[in-house]
Amino acid sequence: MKHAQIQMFETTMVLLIFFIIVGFGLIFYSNYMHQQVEKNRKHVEDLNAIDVALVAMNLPEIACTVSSVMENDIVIKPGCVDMRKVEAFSDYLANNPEELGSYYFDRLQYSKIMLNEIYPEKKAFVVYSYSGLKHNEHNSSFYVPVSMYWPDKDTYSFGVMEVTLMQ
Amino acid sequence: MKRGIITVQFNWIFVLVAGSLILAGTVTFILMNKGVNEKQDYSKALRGIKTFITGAYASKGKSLALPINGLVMTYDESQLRLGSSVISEYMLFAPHKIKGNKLLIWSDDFSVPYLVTNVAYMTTPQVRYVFVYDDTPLSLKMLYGLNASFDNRTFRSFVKYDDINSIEDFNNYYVVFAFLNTNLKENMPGVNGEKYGVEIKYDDNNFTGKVRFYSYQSHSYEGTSVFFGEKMIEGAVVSGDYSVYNENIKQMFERAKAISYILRHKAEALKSGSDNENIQEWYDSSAQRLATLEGLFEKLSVNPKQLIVVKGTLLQNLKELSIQNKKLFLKSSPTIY
Repeated sequence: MKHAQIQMFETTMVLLIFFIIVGFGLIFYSNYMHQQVEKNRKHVEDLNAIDVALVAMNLPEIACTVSSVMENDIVIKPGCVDMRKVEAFSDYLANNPEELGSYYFDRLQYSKIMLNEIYPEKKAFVVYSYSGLKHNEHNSSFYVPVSMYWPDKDTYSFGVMEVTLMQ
Repeated sequence: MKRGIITVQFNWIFVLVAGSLILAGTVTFILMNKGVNEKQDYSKALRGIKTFITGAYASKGKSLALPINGLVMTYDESQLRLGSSVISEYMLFAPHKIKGNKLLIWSDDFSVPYLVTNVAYMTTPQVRYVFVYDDTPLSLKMLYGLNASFDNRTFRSFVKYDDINSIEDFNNYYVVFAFLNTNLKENMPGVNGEKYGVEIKYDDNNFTGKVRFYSYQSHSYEGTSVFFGEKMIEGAVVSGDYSVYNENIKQMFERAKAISYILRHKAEALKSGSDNENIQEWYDSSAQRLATLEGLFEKLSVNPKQLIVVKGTLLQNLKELSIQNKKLFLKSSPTIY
């Protein structure tokens, strides 16, 4: 082999190795970016679930309210759901299905909101469920402890609100 | 040409081509990354605004400010948009065009007297609100109420009706003139920008009334609507826009219908759970009133102007319900709301 050919071969090899290293770098970088994107997606999904839980906990349709007779001011009692309102709300949604896909969908999205009574009894109540055409590929769940108020008995049970967001 | 010279030249050409390729690759990679980062920043901004609105909406009495660095948003048909992306579909009282350095949002509750929904108001400090009032008690009542409920960071000016021609211009892109129980003035030449007029007049009961929206651009009235309570007056002024306002109040009445339904069912459940005849009667009477209210709010959600016709029955039923609720409270029985 002539000297010039050897030099050419040498240069080509150097470049080839350089591009292989760059290629490996790109593969590692794209893997890292893919992981970051996945992490961000999960983070956004979790934030969405928290948003939905926050909205659900403060819906006047189900939240306990405290009225002050003197000031005529009504405020939501934090972390408390009125079980008679929950029953009536489920009934309302059953009678007005168009609201599931419009007003409540804008707030609660594709989600299932359950109230799981833990003490004194173990029972589950569905507050809202709208899955549309979602196939539950990526679900994010968020749990909030709640007091479940039974106004007719004037008693409270302890439970957890489970918000499952179908992404 | 000698072979050695050809080799050197070829090497240089080879290095130049390879160097250009590497440089082009690096530049493409940087540009791609820049695009990805810009998209990430954009989606972060969208996410931030959405969380911000959800937070404000979820509880009353919240007041928040978020830097938006010149972003231009639009609000129409209950959709807040940034470019083609829908940020939120919450009911917001906001101007149809929102731009500036800071997004201001505050929330309050709409109670009739039972809690119906939380309402959020959104604007920027670059939107100017001019409250035009006179010395009459109703005008002053409206002025004090609005001033107390508006966010402190909003740009508000106060001017007496007689001094309206001396008003100074501050180059705002959007100006709302709120005529508080005074007649709307159809000519406002001293102030530049997109200008809207809102004339708010109480009925005889000082709780309901009419709102007229005027556009100084088209020199025409955009529409006439009604209000039910101070929260709606505030909404009319913050948005300054007839279609935004009218759609939102329809939604508020729709919510009032839904809550009336829920409370009626609650009252019926409480009645069957009580063994005291008097109290059972109160629950029963409350359920009947709530059924009437449900029907009235349904009418209003379709056509808010029906308020002019039904306001007497509506206020009477709400008052009676409030009395029943107080009675239940004083008897230490579970209240309806």
